[in-house]
Formats: sequence, structure tokens, C-alpha cells
Amino acid sequence: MIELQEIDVTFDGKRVIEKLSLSVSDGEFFTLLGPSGCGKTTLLRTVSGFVNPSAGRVYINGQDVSARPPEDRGIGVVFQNYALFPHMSVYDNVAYGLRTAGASRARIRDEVPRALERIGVADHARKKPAELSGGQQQRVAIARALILGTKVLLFDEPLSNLDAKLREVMRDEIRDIQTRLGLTVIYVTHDQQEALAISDRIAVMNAGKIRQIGSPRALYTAPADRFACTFIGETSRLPSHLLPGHADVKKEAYVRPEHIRIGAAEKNDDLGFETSLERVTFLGARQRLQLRHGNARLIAEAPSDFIAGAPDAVIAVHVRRSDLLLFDEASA
Amino acid sequence: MSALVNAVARSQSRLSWPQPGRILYLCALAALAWAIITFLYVPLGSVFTTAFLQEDHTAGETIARLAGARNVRSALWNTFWMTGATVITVNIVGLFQVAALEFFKVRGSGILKIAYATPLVFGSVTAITGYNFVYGSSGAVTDLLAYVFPGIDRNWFHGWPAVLIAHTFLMTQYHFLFLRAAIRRVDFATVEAARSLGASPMRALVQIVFPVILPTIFAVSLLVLLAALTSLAAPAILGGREFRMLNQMILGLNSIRRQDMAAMLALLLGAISLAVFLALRWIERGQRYVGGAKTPIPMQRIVLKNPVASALVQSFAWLLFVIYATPVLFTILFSFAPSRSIATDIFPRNLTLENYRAVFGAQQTLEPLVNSVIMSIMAIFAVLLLALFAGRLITRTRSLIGGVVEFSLFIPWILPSSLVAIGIILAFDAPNPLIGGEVLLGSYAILPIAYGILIVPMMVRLISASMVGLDPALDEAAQALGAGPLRRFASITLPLLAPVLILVSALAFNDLVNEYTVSAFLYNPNNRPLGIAIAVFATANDPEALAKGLVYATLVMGVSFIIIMTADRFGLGRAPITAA
Repeated sequence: MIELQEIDVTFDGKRVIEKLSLSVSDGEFFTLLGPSGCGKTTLLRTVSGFVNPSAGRVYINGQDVSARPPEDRGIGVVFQNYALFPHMSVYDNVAYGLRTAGASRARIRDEVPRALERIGVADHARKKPAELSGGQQQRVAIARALILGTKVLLFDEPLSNLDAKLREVMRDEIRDIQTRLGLTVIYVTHDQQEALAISDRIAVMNAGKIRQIGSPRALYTAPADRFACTFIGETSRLPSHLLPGHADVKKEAYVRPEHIRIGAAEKNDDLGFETSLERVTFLGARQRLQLRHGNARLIAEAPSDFIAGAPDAVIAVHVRRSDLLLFDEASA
Repeated sequence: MSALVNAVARSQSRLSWPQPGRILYLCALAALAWAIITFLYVPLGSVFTTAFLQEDHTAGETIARLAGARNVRSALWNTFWMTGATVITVNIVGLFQVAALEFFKVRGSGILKIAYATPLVFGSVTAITGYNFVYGSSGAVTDLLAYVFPGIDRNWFHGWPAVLIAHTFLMTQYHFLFLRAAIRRVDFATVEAARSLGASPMRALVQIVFPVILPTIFAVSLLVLLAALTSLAAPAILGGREFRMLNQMILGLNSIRRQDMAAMLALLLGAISLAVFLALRWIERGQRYVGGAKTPIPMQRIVLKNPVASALVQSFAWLLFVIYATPVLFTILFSFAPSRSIATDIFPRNLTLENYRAVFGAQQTLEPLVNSVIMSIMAIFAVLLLALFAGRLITRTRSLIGGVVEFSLFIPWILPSSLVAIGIILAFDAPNPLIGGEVLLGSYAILPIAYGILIVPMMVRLISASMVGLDPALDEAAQALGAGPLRRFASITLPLLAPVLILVSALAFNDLVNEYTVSAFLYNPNNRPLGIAIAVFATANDPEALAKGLVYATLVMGVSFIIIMTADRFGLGRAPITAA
């Protein structure tokens, strides 16, 4: 288990993480998600020991490791650019941790080939990192981080250097490895799709603070505030005059694209209104409709066989009251 | 004082040195501080006090006497205009070379490259000797010219034209090293874009490529300027009585023990260097362009379709080949010629190893060679250790200490080497407590120490630049795998820096084995280096002495060649070489 208690991090007098606490259970895949500069990588580096917090404590498996340097924390790290040692072969990269730990030659000869075999790069053992593809480098980086038998693995945006297709493949591989070996993983990404697809739980971060922690489904269906709501998934803000009792209730209402349903209201408490079509974007299985109601622009989804009509065509839509995501106007 | 203590503490905490290593770190820091104070600031202070604080006369009187001396005035003027002219001519030749090797498709560019690279192995006093030997009054080229043009003055390679020619062709090594690397980094797509908009290759070169590499052009021009300003071997060997430059004046004044005047002139030279340096930095500041391309296309060489332009480029490229190759080939060839043939023949009639036997057979002639090699290696080894520590201090800490160290180690780069030499003489001509009450003047150690000072800025700069280029994630990855600081340094940092360390050591060795200026000020019978021996032989009328000079020159070239080729394998041109 990893536990952070009231972590403060300041750089050059500027506080980048403020009184942050969280805990990650054994065998959990935990993701830190947020926009660039929100402090998620800093938080990860605090766990790994590369950043020293100005206040707070870090516990790994019940032990206070706050004062320990990274080399004594017993964690594996996979870096954004993999940080494979360019002057060493794949084999030597993976063997590095064992050699540092003073492992016997027999043990190295036994464990390294097995590790390479397990991740499917055994054929490339003698190659230098530069001769490998991005995906292979990624696998080597994971094998290297796991060679010492660590149960805690930290990933810092590991997929950002791969193309879209490979990203999905590697995403699934990482999740497989984590499940198979029962690893506790903290994973940093700014890609919400990636976070939703891979995580057990996600912490949404902004400006050095955690805005919400929850399962992917919980974050999507019940965001705690406007930031979490707009950062994860697509949303449209409904004009306030459409809300019942709008004069009294100071609320902002958001709705997901799949919840803007085409056609007139079906039940009494549905919110039905007319929109004009601005643009249709064909996405294959579905199409994305950009609609306008007064000054508000709304994004809806429709099956790809739906015939939306020409631009400016009037389309009636409705939203179920239960699908509304409501936040106080004050919530930032 | 407390600020200093805080700064030390801060830099320590940022470097996160381990407990056992902390004592080592503090010892290294103390040694670095001692070296900087003893060998940089104390000599510099001695120059100031000698120039300005004489008991029997004022600094004003020293300046008045210097200003009143006609030879000083003319040396000053000569130094100024020769420096300006050199920067222009070197840039013309150097920029053309770079374009011919990297931008235009020129026939035989592989061979041209070897010829253009010769200043790397054939530099300073060695090259001046070679030039004098080939183009001088009894040289082979002069013989050839006299045969073609019977009325020609056989003494044509003499005075300022000879100095300017030598400067022009021998100071292009910075262009060869740094500008070629810079042009290779230019995004070829920008050249193609210019051509698609109607620009000819020549226009694209001048309007697109040159502006992008302008910072590097400034940087190498600055290096050329500083080298020309403090030139000593060229005017001493080729200038004759009628063309003298400032460094010769300083050397002369020092030898007649007018060190107040020598110090004053050295300071003047230092002030000019500093002013020029600051001016160029100021100009350079507004001239940086950062390429926006995420995937730049590597530079490709363009075929010149215009026949006139093509013919001009090809013929100028090959003319340069002849100019560069001739002195080298003749020096090597005649080092194997019987000594009587040296004075009389255009080509040697037969070849012999006699000259080599003469050099290696007698301790007296072998000694300068051995001295130079040993003293250079001593200096390089000491500076490597210093630079690895200082580089880490400079790149990993943003503390006051890092800044002070960086600034201090950069000082000798702007100071003329004659000023460094005068400083060492003045600071260590009497027992000095900083070096355990020893006297350096007249000792063997004085030259290795001075050599160390000369190469410190280059080595520290290139090594710290490549340290900055190291991905910090690599160090962190090793740390996450359990490696402590020393292990990380040995297994990650050092192997990754090795190409640069080999490269800068090679460059430093190359400079030192040819070194003339500082050697001329500081050598003594115990440590007479190669540069001095070559210069003595070069100016001798005795063919046997000249033959030995040619053997020295060939040996130096051979060693330098091996070193440069080794360095090239380890990534010459790939090294981070923003020289300024």
C-alpha cells in the first residue's frame, strides 16, 4: 500500500502541491489525471523520492520512506521517454538493477533471459535501445523496472511517445502485467480516455490539488465539480432558462453528448427544446452533431444512419432530468 | 561569510550527496577553490599590481613611455588591423569550406574534407614552420613560382602578407569543427521551401541557412578573433623585423625585465579581448533562431545546375585543397629527405630515415618531444578531474557557488595567453605560501600548470555542455534501480560522457603539443617543449636543423592525426559544441 499524508511541495517558493493526502491499495491500478502543470508528475516523483516534499510523509507498505533516497525505496519507475541507457544492450539494461544489487552471475543469467522472454523481446537482447521500436523500448523499460521483484511500479506518461494504435495495445499490456503480477501501480497521464480505460481508480488533479477520487465510472457519471465534469468526457452546458425553476436555483447544468436525445420530450419532466443544426461530423459507428440553441452550443451523438438534414435544419431534442449534471454556480 | 556557508549547504543539498561522499565532496570543493584562487586570481592580481602599483613610478608614466615608443604603437596598430583582416578572410574561406562540404555537391568531397581538416593536426607553430618551409624564400613552392615567373621576389612569403595567409588558412579549424555541425542541424525542409519559392541554391544558402547558423558563425568568429589578437608564432616566424604584433612586444619587454610595461600591455590586450567578447555576445543575443520543426529533415547536398556557379565552386574548392595539402605533403616528404636535398631540391631525390634516426638517437633532440607529451598529459588529466567535478557543480546546482566557479573557469578563455603567462611569472617568481612556499618560475611544473589554465575553459565548457545534454531521467532510472551516486557516475554518466571526454582531451592535447605562446614565456632548460624546439629549427639556416624541425612537425601531425581520427570515431561533430 502507498499512502501520502499532507504532502506539500514548493519549487522556488511557489507551492505546487498543497496538503495532499491519498492512499493506494495493494494491487490497485491508480491513475493521476490532470492537465499539464497540475502537479501530477511532481506527485509521482514525490512517491519515487526524486522530489523532496517540504512537508508531509510518504509510506510504502507501511514504512515511512520520506527520508529515504529513491534507490532505497524499492519501487520501479517507467519514465516518459523510457530512459533506457543508450550505451548498454537490452540485456545489460535489464540486468542493471541486479548488478547494482550485487546479484550473482548465475542469478543474472537465469533471471534476465526469463524477464526478456516474458515481455517478448528475447530476440533483441543484444541490441542497443536505439535499434528497437517504441513499443519494444517500452517493454524493455517495464522489464528493467520489474527485475528486482518490486511490487510497486510508477509510470510517468509512458504511452505519450507512441502512436494511437500502439498506445491501445501497450495500454492493455500494461494492465495485463499489472493484474498478472499483482502490482500496485501509480500511473500518470493527461489523457482521460487512457485513464478511463486502464484504471481501478482515478484521482483528478488541478492546480496542485485533488478534485475527486473515484472509479472511472463514478467520475464519468457523477463528477464532483465542474472541473471534473468538463475535464473528463465531453459535456455541453445547458442554457439556464431551460432549467425548471431557473429563477430561484443558482445552478449550472451540464449534459453528456449521449444524453442529448433526438426527438421531442417523452416524459413530462424531460427537458425538450428545439435546436438548429450547425455541423455533422461522421465518426464511423456514430456521428457527432453540433447544435445551437440560442447562444448555447450543444454536442449530441447519433447513430451513423441518422439523417440529420442540411445545416440550419431544426432538430427537436430532449434531456432526461436524471441525466443532468448540476453544480453550484460558485463551484470552480 | 555566512552567505557562502549557506551557499555551500544549499549546493550540497541540491546535489544530494550521500553521507560518506560528503567529506569527499567538501575536499573536492576546497581543492577547486584553491586551484581557482592560486592559479587564476592571484596571477591576475599580480599583473594588476605590477602594472599599476610600482614604487618608483606611476602607472601614468608607464603608459606614457609605452605610448611614446614607436614600435609599441606600430605593434598595436598591426595587431588591430591584422585581427580584423583575419576574421574576414577566415570567414570567407571557412564559410566556403563548410558550404563545399555540407551544402553543395562537390566532386571528391571526401578528399577535400581531409585537406580542409589539416589545420586540426597541422596547427600553430608546426604549421607555421611548414608554411615557411614550403612558401619561404628557399621553399619548394617559391622554387616552382620562380621557375614559372623568373622575375618573382623569392622573399614574397614574408611580413604581413605571410602572416595574413598563415592566419587565413590555419585558423579555419573552428569553422571545420563547429560550423559544419551547425549546418548539419539546419532543417533541410526550410531550404526546400525557399527553393520552391524560387530561390537558387546559392540564395537559399545565404538567405536561409547562414542566418540560422549565425550564432555559431559569431561564436567561431569570436574564437578566430581571440586567436588572431594573441597570435605569436606567425608574426615571430614569418613577420620579420617590419611586422610585429603586440604579443611579441610583451615577450620582448618581459625578457628585458620591464615587467611593469609587459603587464600593462598584456592588460591592454586582455581589455580589448574582453571588450570584443562582450560586444559580440551582445550582438549575438538578438540573433537566435529556434527551429520549429518537430521532425527536421537532415541537410542534403545540392547539385549546382548553373554551370558557371558549379565551375566556380568546384575550382575554388580544389584551389583550397592545393593550398592546404601542399605544406603538409612537403613537410612529410622532406622529413624523409637527406638534409642536403632540403635546401636544394623541389622534390627529394631519394628518401631516408636518417633525420628520424638523428632525432630519436640523441637525447637532446628527443627531450622536447617527451617533455611536451608528458606535460600535456599531466595538464589534461588534472583538468579532466577538475572539469568533471566543476561541470557537475555548474550544471546540477543553481547556487552562487556554481555561478562563481563557472565564471572563474571561463576567465582564461578571454584572457590572452601572454597575460596568463606574465601573471604566473609575477605571482610565482618568489616563494609563495599558496603553493607551499615554492617558486614556480624555473621549475618543471610551471608549464603543465600554465597548460592546464589554457585548456580549462574549453574543457569545462564542452564537458558541462554535454552534461546538460544528458537526460536526467537516465540518472534517475539508475537511482530507482538502487544505484548510489558513485555507481551512477561510473556506470551511466561517465560512459555517456566518454566520447566527449575523449574528444576534448584530444583537442586539448592537439593544442598543447603545438603550444608556443605560453611556452615562449615560461619554458626553461628543464622543460623545453616541442613548440619552442620547432620554432628554433624553423628559423635556422642549417638544413640539418631544419630537417629535425620537419621530423618534429611530421611526428606531431602523426600523433594529432591518430588522436583526431579516434575522436572522430567517438563522435566529433555530434558533441555539444556551442562554443560560446
